Amino acid sequence: MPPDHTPHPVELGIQRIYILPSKIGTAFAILVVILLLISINYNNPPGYLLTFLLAGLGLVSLFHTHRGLSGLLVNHVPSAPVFAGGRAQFPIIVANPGQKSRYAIQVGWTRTGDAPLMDIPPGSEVTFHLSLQTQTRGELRPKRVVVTTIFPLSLFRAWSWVELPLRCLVYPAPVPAALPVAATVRSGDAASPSQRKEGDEFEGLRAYRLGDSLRRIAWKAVARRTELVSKDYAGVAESREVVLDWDDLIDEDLETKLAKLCRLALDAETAGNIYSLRVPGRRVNPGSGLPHLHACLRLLALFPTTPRSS
Amino acid sequence: MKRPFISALLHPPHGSWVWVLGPAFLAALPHFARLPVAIGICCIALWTLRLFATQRPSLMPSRTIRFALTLGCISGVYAGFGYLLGPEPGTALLLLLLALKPFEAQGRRDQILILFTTYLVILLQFLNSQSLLVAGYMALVVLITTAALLGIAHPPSQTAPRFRIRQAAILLLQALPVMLILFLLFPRLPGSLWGMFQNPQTGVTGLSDTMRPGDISELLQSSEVVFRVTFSEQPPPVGTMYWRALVLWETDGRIWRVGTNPEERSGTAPVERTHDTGGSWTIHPLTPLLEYVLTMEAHAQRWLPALEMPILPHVESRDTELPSAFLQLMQRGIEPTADFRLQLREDLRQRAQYRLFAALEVATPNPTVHERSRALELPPSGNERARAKAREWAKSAEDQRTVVAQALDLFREDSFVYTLRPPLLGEEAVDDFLFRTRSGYCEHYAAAFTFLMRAAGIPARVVVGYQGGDRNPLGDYFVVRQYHAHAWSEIWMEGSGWERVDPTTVVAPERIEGGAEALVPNIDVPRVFSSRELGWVISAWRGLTQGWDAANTLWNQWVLDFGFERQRRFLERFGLPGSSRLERFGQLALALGLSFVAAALVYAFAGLRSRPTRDALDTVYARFCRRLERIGIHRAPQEGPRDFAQRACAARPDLATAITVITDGYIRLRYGTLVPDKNGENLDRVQIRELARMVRAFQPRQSWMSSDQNEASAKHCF
Repeated sequence: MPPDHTPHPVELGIQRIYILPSKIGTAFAILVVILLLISINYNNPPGYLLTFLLAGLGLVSLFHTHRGLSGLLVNHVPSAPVFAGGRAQFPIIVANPGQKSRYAIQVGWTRTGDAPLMDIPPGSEVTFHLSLQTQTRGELRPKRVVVTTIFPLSLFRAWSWVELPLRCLVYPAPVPAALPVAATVRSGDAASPSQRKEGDEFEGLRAYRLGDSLRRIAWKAVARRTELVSKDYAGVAESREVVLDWDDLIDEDLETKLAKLCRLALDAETAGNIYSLRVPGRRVNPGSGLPHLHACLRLLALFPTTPRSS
Repeated sequence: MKRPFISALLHPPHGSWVWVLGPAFLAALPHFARLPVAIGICCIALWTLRLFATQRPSLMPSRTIRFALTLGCISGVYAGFGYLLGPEPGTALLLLLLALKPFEAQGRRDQILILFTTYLVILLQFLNSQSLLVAGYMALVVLITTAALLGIAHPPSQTAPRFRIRQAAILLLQALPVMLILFLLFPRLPGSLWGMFQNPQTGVTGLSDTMRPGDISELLQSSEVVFRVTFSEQPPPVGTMYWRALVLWETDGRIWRVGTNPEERSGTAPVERTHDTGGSWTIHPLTPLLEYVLTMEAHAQRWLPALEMPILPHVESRDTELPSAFLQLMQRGIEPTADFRLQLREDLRQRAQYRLFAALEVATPNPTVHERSRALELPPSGNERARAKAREWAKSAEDQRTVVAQALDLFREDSFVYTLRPPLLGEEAVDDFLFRTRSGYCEHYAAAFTFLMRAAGIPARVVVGYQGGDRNPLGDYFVVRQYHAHAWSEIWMEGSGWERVDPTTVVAPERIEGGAEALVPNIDVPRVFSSRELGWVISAWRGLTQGWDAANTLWNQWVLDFGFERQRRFLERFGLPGSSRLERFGQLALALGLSFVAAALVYAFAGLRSRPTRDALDTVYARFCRRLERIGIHRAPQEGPRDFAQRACAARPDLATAITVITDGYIRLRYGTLVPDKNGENLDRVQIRELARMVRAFQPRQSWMSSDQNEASAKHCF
């Protein structure tokens, strides 16, 4: 897993902004040429004035469009995981540190997309909600977004590609709830105390095990010893403990297995069970709660497409 | 009442269409006034329908109907005009298609197409009228169209017309320098590219080459500008301003005509003849030459009014090279004629400027035998009483001057009346006028006098043109209008040559001294005002019209007349003659390059001007730091303002109050919460200004402190 990026804004400097006439701009150029030809043919001075005024308008709008982007700061907010088939959301924050309002800024995946337009007043920022339709599980990593504007006259399109460390975890789409699934269900008197639902009563210390919450680490004890020690709590095993085991599923297809495991994990979480997950090569220790669920789903999402032998 | 209506109009669903069709309507409005009424009605009806169709889609015509309508429009225009190529039917067709287009428009693309066509419609209006008024109106329409175009890129501002107009105005203002550069530098062509599809001008009032009794007094009804004149030095008195336009040679006793000169028809161009014979154009100026620039309005005729007598300077010195002034005349297509007129080679179809010379007193050469006989020609019969009278004078008088004096005495003494509404004359017009009605306008007197002179054997001819001019104090030029039209007589005196005799001066000297206004008070003011004789209204009206005329003159001079010639003269001053093709391409490149630079500069300047207020605050604080630096307290780069202030206070307890107050002010303005609304911003600015004042007043002295410190350090030393 790559380290969590501390988002730092990307400034749209002059060297990153591209600008080209849009289709409308090309049509406008043709219009100016037509006007010029008429003016020349009829030797019409006010016609010349109008033609050259429009030419000047085009030229000035070139600078305006370019200035519309330059100096903007683009940043992103980590996106929430989604299930495959859902829309992955990528909130992009564009800040205007300058003194002039920026009008009709678009942020999208492609240059000519129909993204909503936003005005950014001076000294403030605006969040653009980009989304992508997800197909398969895994980690969605859009390479870059593009910040565009055609303001003021749509004659030029200025754009800047911004590479942001965007990533969105896509969990496998869970199979429908009605589907009966096999899972190993163990009763509450399981041998390992760590597999029990923890209670409040302090029972003793034991060696740290992967998956133990940081809160359970006995820091005072650690200070005295060399290895990590976890506090062990005794609790009443009120809920069942569920082991979601890869090997219990008989499906041939890897993706179906993952989808079923995903469903099981979700069901276990809703039922308030303690559950653990075992897939070839990896496992998640028993636990419950949203972080635990996400850890499980994350494992499923990032499960390699060619399974290693267990 | 009005505002809610407009804002309601701009709301969806029809708002976007109002933004597109509104400019199109405004641009087309002057066309509607000119083109057949049906076209205007069609366009407005279709546009209104389109707006209603936004709410009731059932109103949208189907594809077949649209096709039928399009065909109908084309055939209708063809039926109406008889042809399709040309500005008039072309404009009509364009407008109709512009009215049909919205029905098949889907989205942004089609709306842009309509807006672009609107610009084209604006240009087409200029083919018809180039007046300042139309240009001003069209500037407004361009602003609105640009605002609409801006809306394409910024749909949310649909209901905020002020925002769009403001942005568009900024863009247009910034585009002005580019426009000026291109206008001045873009190489103009002397002619047109493919020839113009221009209709002949119709219904032009003015002098014509025939003069009937009553023709000129009719012109008195018109205050239309004929030409404008700027004298390069002191202008001559108005009474001596006789603008010679046409010379009438032939008469049937009632009507005077220019007639045809068989000599001119015989093939040799008049100018060449001038040089060969050296005869007709050797007018010798007896007074210093007057130089003036005459701006002639298009009158679709060949005559050019020239101050009497026109002189072609240095023509007589026919040396190896012709003088530049003469060359210039030649280039502008002027040819001098044998009867001292200036004539254009072609009908004047657009306003043109000429630089001319004149002398008030001249000596003219003798007429040729042919001219002499033409100047004595009279119809074989008619007006017998007048003939008899003239013959009688000629017999009794010892010289020609006496005959002239007797004729003028007749006008003076026999209770002749100068009037604008003379009674009608019969077939024997001269007799009728001289012996019966005895009242007439200048043309009656000129015609009768010339008739008398010819009958008495003195070569004479009628000259028509304009007399006087209204001085515009704003531009210091003279405007000559139709009501300045005048007719006078020219006689040939043995020994001294052609002389002007204006019989009107005898009958109504005030006409010449005071202009036509002497007869009709406030001739230049609409009758609505003059009839009520409201003095201040009249003077206000005059001021307005004079200002408007001055503005028009500037517009004519700097925009309308800036063609091939003017551009060349203008660029020659900057060493860019542009005579060769290469140079003209260079000019074009220069124009394009400069306009790019200008746009960039304007943009950079606009960026600089809107310097943020926060920077102002930083500047103030930086100055404060510099002040402290001067007395030896340096602020470390990483030091915050508060720490720095504490340190400074510790170092200079005497300045502690000022330092604390300034620092607190700075911190409050810099890090305090800013009130986002406008008033808050203003308040901020006021506070920054206040802080700046305090910093300016903060003048810590080194001397006091250094002496103190010296003492302190001295103590340390000991």
